[in-house]
Amino acid sequence: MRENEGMMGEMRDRRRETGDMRSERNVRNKGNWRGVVLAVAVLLTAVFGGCGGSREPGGEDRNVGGERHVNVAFFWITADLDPAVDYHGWVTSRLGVGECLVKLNDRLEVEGCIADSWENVDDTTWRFHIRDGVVFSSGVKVTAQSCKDSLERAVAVNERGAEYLKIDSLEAEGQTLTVRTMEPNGALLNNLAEPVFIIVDTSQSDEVMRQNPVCTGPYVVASFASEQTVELVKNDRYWDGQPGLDSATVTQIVDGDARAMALQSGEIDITNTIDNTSVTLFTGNPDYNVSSIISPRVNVAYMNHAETSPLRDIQLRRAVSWAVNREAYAGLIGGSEAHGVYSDAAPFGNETVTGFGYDKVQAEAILDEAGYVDVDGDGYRENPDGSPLILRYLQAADHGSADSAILAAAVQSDLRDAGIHMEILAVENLSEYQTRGNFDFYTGNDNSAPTGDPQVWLETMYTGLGTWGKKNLTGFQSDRIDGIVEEMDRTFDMERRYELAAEASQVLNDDAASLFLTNSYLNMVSSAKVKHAVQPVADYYFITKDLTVE
Amino acid sequence: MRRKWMRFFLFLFLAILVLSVAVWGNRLAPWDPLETDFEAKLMPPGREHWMGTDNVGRDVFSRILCGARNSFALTFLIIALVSVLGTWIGMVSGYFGGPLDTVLMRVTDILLAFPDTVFAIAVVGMLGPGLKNTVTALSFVWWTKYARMARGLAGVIRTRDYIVQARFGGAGTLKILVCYVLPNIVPQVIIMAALDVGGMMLALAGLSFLGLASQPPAPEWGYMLYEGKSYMQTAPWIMIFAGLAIFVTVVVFNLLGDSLRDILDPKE
Repeated sequence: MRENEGMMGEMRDRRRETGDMRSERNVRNKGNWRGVVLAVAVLLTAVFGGCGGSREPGGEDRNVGGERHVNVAFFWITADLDPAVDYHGWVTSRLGVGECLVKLNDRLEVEGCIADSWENVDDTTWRFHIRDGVVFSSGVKVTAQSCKDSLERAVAVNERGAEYLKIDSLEAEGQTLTVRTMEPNGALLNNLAEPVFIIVDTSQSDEVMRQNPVCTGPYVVASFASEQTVELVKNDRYWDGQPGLDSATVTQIVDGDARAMALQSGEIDITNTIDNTSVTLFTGNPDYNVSSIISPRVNVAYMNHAETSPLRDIQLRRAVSWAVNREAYAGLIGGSEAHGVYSDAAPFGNETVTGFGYDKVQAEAILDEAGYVDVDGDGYRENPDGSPLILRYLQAADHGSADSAILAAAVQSDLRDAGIHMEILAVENLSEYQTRGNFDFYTGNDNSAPTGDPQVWLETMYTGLGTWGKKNLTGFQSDRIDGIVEEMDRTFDMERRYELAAEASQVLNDDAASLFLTNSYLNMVSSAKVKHAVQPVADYYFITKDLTVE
Repeated sequence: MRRKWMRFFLFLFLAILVLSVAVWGNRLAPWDPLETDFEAKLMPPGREHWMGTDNVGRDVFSRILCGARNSFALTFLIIALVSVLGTWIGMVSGYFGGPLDTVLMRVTDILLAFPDTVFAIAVVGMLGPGLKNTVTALSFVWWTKYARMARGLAGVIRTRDYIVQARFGGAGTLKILVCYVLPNIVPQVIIMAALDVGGMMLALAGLSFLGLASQPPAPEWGYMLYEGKSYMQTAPWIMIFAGLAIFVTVVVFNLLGDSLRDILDPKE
C-alpha cells in the first residue's frame, strides 16, 4: 500500500504543478518499484515467516539463579481478575490464584478443596465444613464467614452465580457453613466448583479485587496488565504444600499458531489449546511434552428453531444431521465423533444414547419425502413451496483456533453433496448477529458440563431459563426437557442424574435439536524442562501447585 | 522507443496470459475447487495434486486457477468504478472551480488523510464482512486520487485556447466536458488505472486475509493465504502457491502499467 501513499503524495503535488512532468515521472517510477519491492517483501514474510526454527529463548530466562520460573501463554486474559464478574473467574482459576469450596477431578467428580467435608442435610439444606488451616494470601484465616461473604458477593454480582446456586440463605458458624436453597437444587455441589464461586477476601477494595484478588491458591498476582500479562509469585502461605514454582509470567497470545510458534522459539515454556495439525510439530519431539485429552467441550452448530428459519422443520434438521460426516471431521481437527449434547468425556451415559451417523442416502430420502427438491435445476434443493432454500451459517473462531472454520467448510461441503445450499458468514463477534435472530446455524465450542454436572448446560441452552452470557438463542422448547430439568432439581443421587442426562441427550437427538459435530480435544504443550504439565479435563484449571521446572 | 514497445508487448503478453488463466481457469482446473476429500487432506504437491491439497482436501492448484477469476473480476470492477467516478468528480470540480471545488477537495483531503487500507478495514468493519461491502469500502477510499488528478488536469485545460474557442463556437458545458476536457484526461486515467491493478489486488487480498472480503468456500487468493497460515510449518504449500499467484500477478501488472505510462505519457 506504500505505493498508493506515494501516488497520493504525488497527486497532492500535481495540484500545484503546471509543467515539469519529468521530475514527477521519477517520483512515480519510484513509487511503482516500491510496490514491487513491497510485494516481494510480503511474499517472503509469508513464506519464511514461520521458519525461524529454535532460537535462543526470547522470554526472560530467570532459572539461572536457581529460581524456578516459567513463561506461560494463555489464549485469554481478562480485562480484570475479579472472579465474580462475567467469566473472569475462569482466568483467575487458570492462573492458580483462586480456588473454590470444591474442585473437580479428571473424572469430573467433586473433591474437597477449601471445604474438606459436606453433607446434604435435606433437600434444601447443605452443610460444609471449611478446612482448618486455609488462609488467604494476605494471611487472614478463611472461616465460614469469609466463605459466606464471598459467595454472597458472587451471587449479587453475577446472574450466572445466582442461577447456579438458587440460594435462600447462608449461615456461618465457626468453620461450618450452612447453605439453604429456595428450592431443591441437585446441582449445587458441582456448581460450587465453578470459578465464579472462587473464595475471595471481600474486605479488600474493588481496585484490589480487579488487579490482585486476595484468594487462597498456590500463586499470587504480583502485577497485572489488563488483557496482556500477569506476573505470578508463589503463595508462601498456601495450605496444601509448597507450590512448584517461584514465579511465572503469563502472557495472552490469542492466535493458536502464534502460541505454537512462541513455544518453538522458546519465548514461552507452556501453553494449551494448540490446533491439531500444529500439535504434530511437538509430538514425538523429545524437547516437548504433549498432554492431550478429550474434553467436555463439544463442537456444535446450533440450529435455529425460530419461525424465521427454515430449520424450524424437524425433517430438514434431521436430514442435515444425517448428512454430516462427524467421524471425518474428527479426523480433520482432532477429537472424536460427537454422539449428543454431552461429550464422551462426561460420565453422562453417552453409551446408551443413539445419535446420528453419516448416512447421505437417508438424508436425501428425508428431504425428498418432505418435499425439498431441486425444481430449478441449479443443483440445490428448494423449499417445499418452491422458494429458494439457503441456510446461513455463522462461524466465529473460538480460542484463536482454526477449527471452527475447517468445520464450517466441511459441513458446507457435505450439505452441498446432499443438495442443501449453505452460506458461511465468518464473523468476529457472534452475539451481534445472534441477537437479531438472523441465522440458521451458529457455531460453538462449548463445554456442556462446565461443573461436571449435566443440568446447568441443559438449563442454559435448551430451556427458557437462560443464564447470563450463553443462553438459549435458538428458540428451542421441549416439555420433556423442561420436565427433566425440573426432576434434576429434586434429584440428589448422581447415578440418577446421569440417567436423566442420558434421557435428555436422547430427547435432543430425537428432535435433531442441534448439530453436534465433534468432542473436541484439549492439549497442553510444554518444553521438556516443565514437569507435571497435564491438561485437566475441566478446562478452568491450568497452573497447579504441582507444575514445576527442572 | 523500440525497446519501450518491446517491453510493453512483453508485459502485455504476460498480462494476457494471467488474464486468460482467470477467464478459462474454471475449465483448466483438473479438480472441482469446492470438492472436499477429507481422506486426502494436506497432501503435499504430487502427480495427482500438483500443488497439494488444503485442510479439507481441496485441490490447491484448481483453487488458485478458479480464484484468479474472483480476484480479477473484483479488481477490475472496483477500478472501473473508482476511475469513472473519481474522474467525473475531479473534472467537474476542476472545471468549475469556486465553492464547489473547495467543498469537493476538502472532502478528498479528509479521505486522503487516512491510510487507505486501514480506512477500508474500518469501513468494512462497520458494514460487516462480505464482497459487496468490500467493494463499497475500497471504492469509497480509492476514488480520491482519480478525482485529484482529474481536477488538476481539468483546471489547466479549462484555460486553454481550444476551450475558449469551443465556447465561442457555441458548445454547451456538457459538450465541452465530454468532447474537449475528458479526452485530455483519459490517457492519464488509463495509466493510473493500469498502475492500480497491482495495488488493488494486494488491498483485496489483504482484506480477504483478514476474513473481511470473500467468504468461504469461494476460492480467493487472499483467503487461501489466511487458511494456509495455520499450516505454515506443516503444509507450507497452501500458502506458498497462493502467495506466488498474488506475487506474479502484482509484478506483471505493475510492470505493464509502468511501460504503458512510458508509451502514453504525452510529456515524454
